[in-house]
Amino acid sequence: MELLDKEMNSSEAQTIFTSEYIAPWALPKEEIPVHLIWKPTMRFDHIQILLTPDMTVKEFYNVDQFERLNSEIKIRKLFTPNFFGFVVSTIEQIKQSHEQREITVNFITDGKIQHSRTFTANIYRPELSIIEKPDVIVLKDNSKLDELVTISLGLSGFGRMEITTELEIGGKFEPNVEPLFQEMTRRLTTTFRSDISSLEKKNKIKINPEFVKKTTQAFIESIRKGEVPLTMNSADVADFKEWIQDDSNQEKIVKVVSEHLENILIESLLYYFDRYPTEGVALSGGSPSVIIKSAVEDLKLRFKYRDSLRNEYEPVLVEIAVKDSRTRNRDKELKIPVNIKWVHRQINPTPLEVKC
Amino acid sequence: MSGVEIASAIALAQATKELLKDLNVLSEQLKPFNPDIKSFRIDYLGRNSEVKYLLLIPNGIRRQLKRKVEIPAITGFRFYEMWDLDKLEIVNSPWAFNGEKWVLDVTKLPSSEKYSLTVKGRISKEFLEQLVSVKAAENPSRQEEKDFYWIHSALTNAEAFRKIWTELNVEQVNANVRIGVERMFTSTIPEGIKEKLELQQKLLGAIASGNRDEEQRLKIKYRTMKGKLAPSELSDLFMRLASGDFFADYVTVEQPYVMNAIEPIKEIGTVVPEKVKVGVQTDLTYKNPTAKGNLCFLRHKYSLAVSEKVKEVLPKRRS
Repeated sequence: MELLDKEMNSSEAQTIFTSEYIAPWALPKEEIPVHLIWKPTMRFDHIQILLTPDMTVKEFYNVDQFERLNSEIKIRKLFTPNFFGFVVSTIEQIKQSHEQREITVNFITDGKIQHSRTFTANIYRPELSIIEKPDVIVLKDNSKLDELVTISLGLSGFGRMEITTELEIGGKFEPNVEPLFQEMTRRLTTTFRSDISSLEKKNKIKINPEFVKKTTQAFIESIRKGEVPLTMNSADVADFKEWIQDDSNQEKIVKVVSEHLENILIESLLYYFDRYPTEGVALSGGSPSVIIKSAVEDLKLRFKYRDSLRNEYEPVLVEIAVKDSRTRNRDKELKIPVNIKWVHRQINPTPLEVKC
Repeated sequence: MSGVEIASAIALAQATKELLKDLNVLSEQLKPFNPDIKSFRIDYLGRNSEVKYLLLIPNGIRRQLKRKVEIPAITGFRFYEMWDLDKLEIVNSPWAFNGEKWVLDVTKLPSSEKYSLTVKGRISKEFLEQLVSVKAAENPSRQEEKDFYWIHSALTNAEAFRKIWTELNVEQVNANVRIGVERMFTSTIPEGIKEKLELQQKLLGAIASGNRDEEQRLKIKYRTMKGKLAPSELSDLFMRLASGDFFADYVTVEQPYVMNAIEPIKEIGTVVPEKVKVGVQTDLTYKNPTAKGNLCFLRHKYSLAVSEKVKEVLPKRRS
């Protein structure tokens, strides 16, 4: 019986509806267009849209009058007679990698459903998980720090993700700072008290002046917002902030920046190579390293991630116990790079019939 | 209706009303010529509207008119072109603008009766956004060697125009698809290049910090390094590979869409383009109020082409 209904539904669709569409996939909160066009002979009193409670209509096409009644929308009047559409999205994020939502459109005459179409919205999200990590790492005198920590992270679900690594420092998680700006700060803080004539040097490479300007502006903006940590004594920090915000120093700042651009360019390229470690992933701040100050500390890392629409998901926490078996220099602070292996298990939605 | 919906509906109604008012004024001004609107087109990309009038100027009317007909420029429309429909040829600039009024020099008109007049006006971005809705997939679906992005466009409200004209064309409705290319470049750079850049970085760092021993050591290493690379060459190359000239060969789009401008998108503070913005366009009319299709990015083919170009530019010998 159910099959019969479905068949009837599709054959009816062929005769009455001349065009129908729902975007074949979407992220949570992404706008999903839906439309229906029917033959001008079709008659009805009103159209009813039935949604699940976690969906909302954000836009209408060709709708003059409508009413919202919880998860039902009643379309009373269209502008032109044989076409209508709307844009839906989920209100919240989804839990599973792939979830479906049904959207039913009923054409009602004399209180009865005359024609009906059910659309399925396919919602996907990316998902990050730990596949493998060491429970404990052992520090020895001859330990190769580069090979000490390797974790496997699983990429599943659908869509690009931007991952921010955070390291636990003093019980708080701090983000890794963009190295390009870190480098610029280092250079500027060491030169800001010197006068401009001592900075005269030849520029070996030609750089687009627009690039210099934009980079500098973005950089100054992040210092103003306090996004770039300044490792100077507090009196200098205040002076430096004042100096960098003084428009009359603009020329000097641009000079320092453009002079060091070759280095900054290298920095930026290396940063860029680190930023995209694998397909579908942008890693903010590049590859993480952890700093171990004392042997009693455990190594704690947090991977925060979001999709292209900036939906944030539950972060992934990695804790690794550290066993210090060193016999010498036990107080030495260690910077340990974290190697990440990426395991791809993504799914891909099937596009509707494609001709390209 | 929520507050936002009401506000946007009112904004559209208001903008439409303004436009219709302007058109009414214009029709009123052209009244001596029995104006009949033949078509109304909106160029979405150029943000222009274009109205084509059929005008009848028989000799009788011509005699009644003075030598010049003046139309105050209160509508924002400009008189673009006039065709003599009897002889099927363009009439050489009969309309002139004197800063306040559009002036028709009747003596410049040939003896024909039927004319087609085209006027053009500007249309605000907000108005177009209210009239047309454009959506495209945020993330692509990957099928074998290709990435797909869905695209959908629709007229949201064309009713106001329908009351007056039987035809409405909204042309060049543009949709932008953003294709991520960052990984294409990263994965094509050989490990040796990264090492070279790292060495250059360390050397410049040593020079800056005044560490003489380290500087000497790295300088020797740097001098003996084969195939040095200017970092700007690499970022220039990436920009070229993300430009429309190069990229256009690796994207196709289904009908009714056609390709439009392609340009790289670069975030501030980075030297490498992370995405390429591909514009596609279509026309919407009363008869075809919606358009649906897919944009296809030939990911694998592009990646191979990028590898090829990187090899050409990078130094041949390794250190």
